[in-house]
Order: sequence, then structure tokens, then C-alpha cells
Amino acid sequence: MEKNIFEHIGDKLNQYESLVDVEAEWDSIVEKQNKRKRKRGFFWITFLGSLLLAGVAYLLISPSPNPSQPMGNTPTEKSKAEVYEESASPTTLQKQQQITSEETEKEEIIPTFSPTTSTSVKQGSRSNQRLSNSLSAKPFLIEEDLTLKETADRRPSDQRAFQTKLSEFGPLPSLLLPISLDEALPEQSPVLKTTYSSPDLDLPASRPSLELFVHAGLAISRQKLTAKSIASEDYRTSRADSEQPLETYQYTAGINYYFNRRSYLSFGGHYNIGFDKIIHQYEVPKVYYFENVLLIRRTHSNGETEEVYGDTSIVGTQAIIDQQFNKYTSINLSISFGHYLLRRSRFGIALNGGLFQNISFQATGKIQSAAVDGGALVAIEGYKKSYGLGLLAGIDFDYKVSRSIVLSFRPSASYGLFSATKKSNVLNANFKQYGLSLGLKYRW
Amino acid sequence: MKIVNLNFFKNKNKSTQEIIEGCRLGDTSCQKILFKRYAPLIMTVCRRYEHPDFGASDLLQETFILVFKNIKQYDVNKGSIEPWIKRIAVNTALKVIRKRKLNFIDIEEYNIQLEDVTEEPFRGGDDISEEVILKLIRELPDGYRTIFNLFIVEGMSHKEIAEQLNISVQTSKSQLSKAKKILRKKLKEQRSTKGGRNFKNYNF
Repeated sequence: MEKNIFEHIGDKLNQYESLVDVEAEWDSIVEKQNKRKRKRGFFWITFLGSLLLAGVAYLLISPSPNPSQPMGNTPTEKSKAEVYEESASPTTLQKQQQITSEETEKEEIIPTFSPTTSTSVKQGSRSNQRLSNSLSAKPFLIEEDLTLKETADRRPSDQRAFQTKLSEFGPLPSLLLPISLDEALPEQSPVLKTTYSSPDLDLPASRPSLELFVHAGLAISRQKLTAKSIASEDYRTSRADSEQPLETYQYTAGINYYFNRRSYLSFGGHYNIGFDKIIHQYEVPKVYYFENVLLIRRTHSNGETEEVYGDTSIVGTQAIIDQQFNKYTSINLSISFGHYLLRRSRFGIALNGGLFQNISFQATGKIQSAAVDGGALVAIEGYKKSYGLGLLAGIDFDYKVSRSIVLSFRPSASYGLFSATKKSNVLNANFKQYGLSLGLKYRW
Repeated sequence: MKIVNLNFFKNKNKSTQEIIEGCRLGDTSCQKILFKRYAPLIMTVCRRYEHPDFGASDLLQETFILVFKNIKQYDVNKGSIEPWIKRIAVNTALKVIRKRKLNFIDIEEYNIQLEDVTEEPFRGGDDISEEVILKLIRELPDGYRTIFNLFIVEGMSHKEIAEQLNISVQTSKSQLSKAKKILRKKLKEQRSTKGGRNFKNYNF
């Protein structure tokens, strides 16, 4: 059967083999495969890191079933728990255990204590009387044993410390419940009045606490860019080889989660923005036409410049001055661990370090001019985006200005580990950045 | 540009199986051999579907990346690997086309009558250049070109084309008819302007 023209065309095309630059195409395939592997790796690292963060956060934030957690102490001053421990003699403790053990079979409710203004001891049942007598006979706190600076003011943590100690004796009879701290303790111990007005940094935190922080500052990064790189047709030049340091403005906000009074986990978001300008002069016998002009800066032969909004052509072609303006933006999400080396009532010094995930943007505006008068300038907008991971570290110098607010000065350093894309810029792979920032912390 | 040596294998069948097995194991050298062997053929497929935004080269690379990724799914017992790779190339091209959401005009909407053209049988020598054919096909509008390739070259039915492109059968027929009409006209022009000896045995 004879075929028509289209069937013939189909047969021919099915057997035809085009000329192919096999090596070049193969190289492109390998590059694409590697790029996708890198992206997959970056994705998995981010995903697993997020899972890890979520798991750690859950473990830290979820309430502990055992209230008798050890608290962090200063090396120079004792916590309430230690003071209680020293004050209560073994004999007293044994007596109290004997008293309460008789009641443990009947009741399992553990008392909760809440601060009141009353300081009198309730007179109740015999067991209650025994307890109050035992408490008054050997107070948990002896004033001369105290080494704390401020004895008149106490925070709610003291009550919880007392509760912790009391709970070690086992469950108390229900008739004793509820009983307030001030009611349980003898009047002779006014030191335990709970006024809770202390702004002292040193007092232990009996439960995990959160702290919000914001910082603003300046950072400098170093990369190298040679002037000849901007003479190429691709005006969206990476700043990866700049010879000039880039100054960026840093803004940081985040949360510190304290799981004891010295150590914390920090989750932060960082915003960096930087600008730079590169100038290169060369001779070009050419006329350029561009679209989407945003800004024209006219440079006259006498060196004066003026800025106008104009059209898209260059008239003069003698000497060309290339000025490339770059704007770098970077958003980092970080997780780090911090620890206070020194913590006083007003001052504190903490070290912190961790990882950050970075998304960077480079916007390039290139302005080109002719040296002769009347030459018009044109601008080209370029844009690059890249992702990466890095390390960060810093030292916090804290000064407490009020009960909840701390002024913080932070020198820091960042280092880009790797970039998920090949387009690196100064805020991405292999960059080093050093910064100084000032900020505030608010703890509740 | 390098010209591929088509006589690369002496014992073609045995070598191809070994190469496929090597590709399954992730052997890069086997992958490269497979690529070298079938790239020219698949490039022709890609050139028929190429679009300025997504060129033939990109389509070729995407095709072979998918081939290497999914080669474990290929069943050696079902025949040569060539149709399988071609199928991946066509599917990759169709994926790009679907993303671009071509506007296939439905014949029923516009009440367009199909032309009843009797195709003249082809007589004469094999003298229509493939490059000319590819060039003329690329000049067709996207929708016409796609349906022409699928029906004429790939050998799909209108029903299969309609399912692939999410259009009606009538639209597929209409687009094909128009594609043929345009191609016929272009081939005539080729004959009249660039030397008609290549087409002298064919009646348009």
C-alpha cells in the first residue's frame, strides 16, 4: 500500500538521528543530577534539623512529672534547697518522716502551697499540730545560716523549694490541706515572707523560663571582587571576589528558652541587608539599548553626577564608567545553645553558638555611563537567590536595667558552611562575617 | 559538533543488556554509553516538540535523567529499550506542554468544518530532507505541532491524544487537519522557492 506524504514524514523522522554534542550534553546531565542531589541533601538536612528542633523543644517545654528537679546555683551563693538541706538535721528529718509515715496509708494527696499574707500557724488536728510543732522546733531556715544578700525579699521560687523539700517526706494527711507557706512556717522566720519583689538575677529559676530578645547592629564581611569581572556582558556579578569588605546591617529577634538558670536554647531570626558599589572605567566603542530603566545617573566629563529618570539609550561611546550597585539581603533562621559563664545581680556574660539556615538574595543594579556630556545612563536589575547553612557564635554582655529587661551587647561571628546552589554571594558559602549589635532582652 | 559513531557495538544485543544492567546498578560509564547510543535519536524527538522556553537540549537532558532514575522499571523481556526511552521523551515533552497550558480551540465551540482532504499517495524517491521537515514542523503553532507529532510520528490515536492533552477528540482531529494543511502549503513553498527537485514526485 502506498503511503501518503505525512506517513512518509513520520517514518523518516522516526529513524532520523540528529547531530548531538554528546560530551557537552552529558556534562550538563551530570551537573543537573549533582545539583538535584545537593538540593535533596539540603532538604533532608533542613527537615531532620527541624524534627530535631521540634523534639528538643517538646522535651524542654513539656512539664516535668517530678517536681523535685535540681536547680542551678551560683558558685558563690547557696540556693534555698541547699540552705534547707543544711538547716534540717538528720534527726529532725527522721522524726518528721516517722510522723508522716503513719498517715501515708490513708491519704495520697500532696499539698500545694500558695503565698498568703498571714503568718500564723493553723491549729488543727493532732497530726497537724505535730507537724507545726516539728516545723517550729526546727525551722527549715535559720537566719544566721542564710548567705543570700537580700533576706527580706523572696520570689515564688522559695515556696516551690519548700514544697519540694516537704514533698520528700511523703504525702501529708488530707486534714493538713491546703496549707499556705506562711501558715506552715513559724512567725520567727520573717525572712520567708513572700514579697517577691527581688530583681536579682542570681536567684534560681525553679522552672524553665522564656526570654524574648531583639538586636540591631552592624556586621562586616570580607570577599573579593576584581574590577575586570564587571566588564563582562553578565552584569549580575557575584560579589564573591570583591576586594572590599561589605558592611551589612543586622537585625535579630528570637526567643531564649532557659532550662536552668545558666543554660538556654536560642531560636532566632536574623535579617541582614548590605549595599556596595563597584566602579570600573574602560573604553567601549558600542551603543547599548536596554529596557526597564529605573534610574539614570549621568556622569559628566568633569566628574559631576546627576540623577534623572530617563530612556534607554547611550549616546556617547568614548569612555565608559561602569558602576555596579549591589543590594544584598539575607534571612537566617538559627538555633544555638548558650551558657552564662558569669551571672551576677546586674551583670552577666554568656557564650552562645549554633547553626543557621540562610536564604540570600542579591539584587544588582548596574549603571553605565559615557564620559562625554549628554551621555545617558541606563540601569539593569539583576536578581540571584541562594540557600545555605552556616555556623554562628557570639558573646552576650548583659546588664540588667529592671526586673524583666536586660540590655545586651553582642559581638558575633558567622561562617557559611556551604551553599545548596552554585550561586554564592557574600552572604552565603565560605563567607566570614563579624558583627557588633546592641539589643534588649525581656524575660517573663 | 561531534558525529556519533552508529556502529559502536559489534554484538549489539548483548552489549545493550550489559549496559542496561550497569545503569541499573548506577554505573556512570554505562549510563554514558547508553546516552551516547540513543541521544541522537531522542534529540530528533525533542526537536519536534521543542519550545523557545524549553529547548530541545533541556528536553534531552531531562529525558535521560528520568531514564537513569527509572531504569529499574524497564523490563528487558518487553523488547528494545529504544521505544521506552522515546516514550519518556514524549511524556516529558507533554509535561512541559501541559504546564504551559496551550489553548487548543475546541472545534465544537467554533463550529469549524473539517476539510475532507484525500491524501495523495506518495510516489518517488526518498528525497525530503529530515532537517527541512523538522524545520517546517517547528514553524507550526504549538497546538498543531503537538498533535501532528503525536498522531503522525508517535502513531497515537485521536482518543489517546485527547486523553493526554485533556481535549476533545474533535479538537484533536481539527488541529491535525489544520497542521497538515499548513505543512502542505509550506512544502509547496519549499518546492517553488528552494528547488523543486526534492518534491517533484509528490502531488500536493
